[in-house]
Amino acid sequence: MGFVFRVIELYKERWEFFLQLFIEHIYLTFVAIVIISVIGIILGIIMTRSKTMANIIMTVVNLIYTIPSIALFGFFVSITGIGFKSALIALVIYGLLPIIRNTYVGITEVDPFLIESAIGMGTTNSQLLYKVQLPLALPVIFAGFRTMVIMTIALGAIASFIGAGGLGVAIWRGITTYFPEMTVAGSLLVALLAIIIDLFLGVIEKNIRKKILGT
Amino acid sequence: MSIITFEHIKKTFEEVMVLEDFNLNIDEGEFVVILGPSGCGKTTIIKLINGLLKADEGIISIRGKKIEDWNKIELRRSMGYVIQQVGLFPHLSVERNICYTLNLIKIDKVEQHKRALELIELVGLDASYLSRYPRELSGGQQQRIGVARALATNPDIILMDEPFGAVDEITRRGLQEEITKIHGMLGKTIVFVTHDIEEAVKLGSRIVLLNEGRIDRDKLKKDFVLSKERTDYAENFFGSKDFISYLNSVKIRDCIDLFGIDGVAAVEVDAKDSMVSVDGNLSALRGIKTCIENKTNVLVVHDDEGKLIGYFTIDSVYKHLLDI
Repeated sequence: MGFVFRVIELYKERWEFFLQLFIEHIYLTFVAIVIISVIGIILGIIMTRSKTMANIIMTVVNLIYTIPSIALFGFFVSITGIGFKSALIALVIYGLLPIIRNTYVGITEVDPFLIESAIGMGTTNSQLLYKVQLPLALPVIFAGFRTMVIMTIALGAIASFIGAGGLGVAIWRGITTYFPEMTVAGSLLVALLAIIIDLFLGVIEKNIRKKILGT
Repeated sequence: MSIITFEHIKKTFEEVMVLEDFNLNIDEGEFVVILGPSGCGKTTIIKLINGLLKADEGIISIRGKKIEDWNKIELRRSMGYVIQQVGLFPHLSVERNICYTLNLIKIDKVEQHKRALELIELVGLDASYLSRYPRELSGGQQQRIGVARALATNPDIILMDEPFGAVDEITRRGLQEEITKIHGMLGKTIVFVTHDIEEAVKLGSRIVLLNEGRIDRDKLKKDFVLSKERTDYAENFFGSKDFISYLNSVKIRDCIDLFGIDGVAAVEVDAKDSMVSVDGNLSALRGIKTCIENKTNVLVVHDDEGKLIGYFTIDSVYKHLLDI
């Protein structure tokens, strides 16, 4: 019990420090999430237009996913140096898989008869995408988005190992200075952030499913 | 005037011949039913008309213009298209579904709503359905919406690919009556594909029987059913089912004798009261059945208001069919 109190004590004493890390963490992951979503959805759509592109993109993304995240961070440090930029690039590359895959799967799994009747009624290619495919794929795409967001928040803690700030700083400092309370305090905040955002996204996902699929 | 023409069309799918030297002329306002077993190329014909498929050889003209010269998007928007799977968009309300094509061509929203109200009534549902979603409707209701959607832009051609294949018998009959009514009211050219003989005879003003990508028989309905020359294929395909279906689609009131009415010699008056009476809106087949059930050869026919309009006999059917 003493340990728990010491952690709470630590939050009280150093709340400004934690608040700053918390904001840094949110900022880093938010930027990463926006970039991942844009690139991921575009790549996912490109994949649905060409079988060859689909194979190439999926192979590359899967390959990247097999690299341990810590190694990926290290790799980018050697190219873009220490700091925010390297962390961001690594987070983006690592987070692409769920969103690309779900966009691709979501769109390709739209009922082919719906597509056929839409085309038969004179829908252009872009109208097909915006009015039929994307709306119907939205529940699947959003499920991928939710996975990606949680993953990026958690991974963001490792980003501080290459000097990008965020709650990982507290964890890292706790480890290197034999200060377990600090490590736990940092980890708890990462977990808290992930859980709250996940609950929030879960509610949105449910609403989207209800609106589009009726279940 | 012909609105759709196929000239020497050839279409193959991966070496398999689907249509071979296929020729067809469809006139404005016709209700053409293309009939044949699965895999005879029926659906291919529909998809060639709206450009979802391209012929290997031959010329297709729509409204006098070659299909290659049409902008495909515009061509499709100028035709209604109804498929068996209905293809309503689950994420859109019934109203948005009906107005889908109107929305594509960016018609004013107020106008769209007005049109949706007209159409939902035309297909026999009421305005309260507009705010529902397709999943809340039965299969038959969904297909009604599918028909309404196809009519939204007021196209002169409607393509229907086994539209009532997936609904139950009773619902199908309702939908068939609805589409006959709509054809009568709006006078559109309808190309309707089915494998159901009864449906073909009931709906079409003209029937085209397909046999492995070739036309086996192409005639106006009555000639189609009653003319004697038939290929072995047609004989095999129909047996007497087309004839039975035809009798089923002819109404009693269209084949009655007028003894005693309009000055024609009367049946004995006292006999009339003891005779069996039938509704003139029933089918001739029902009339024959009623005759046999009651062991009589004359029936009294009355209209909706119960007024006597004539007499039905097996002989009167015979005369009607032969136009004598």
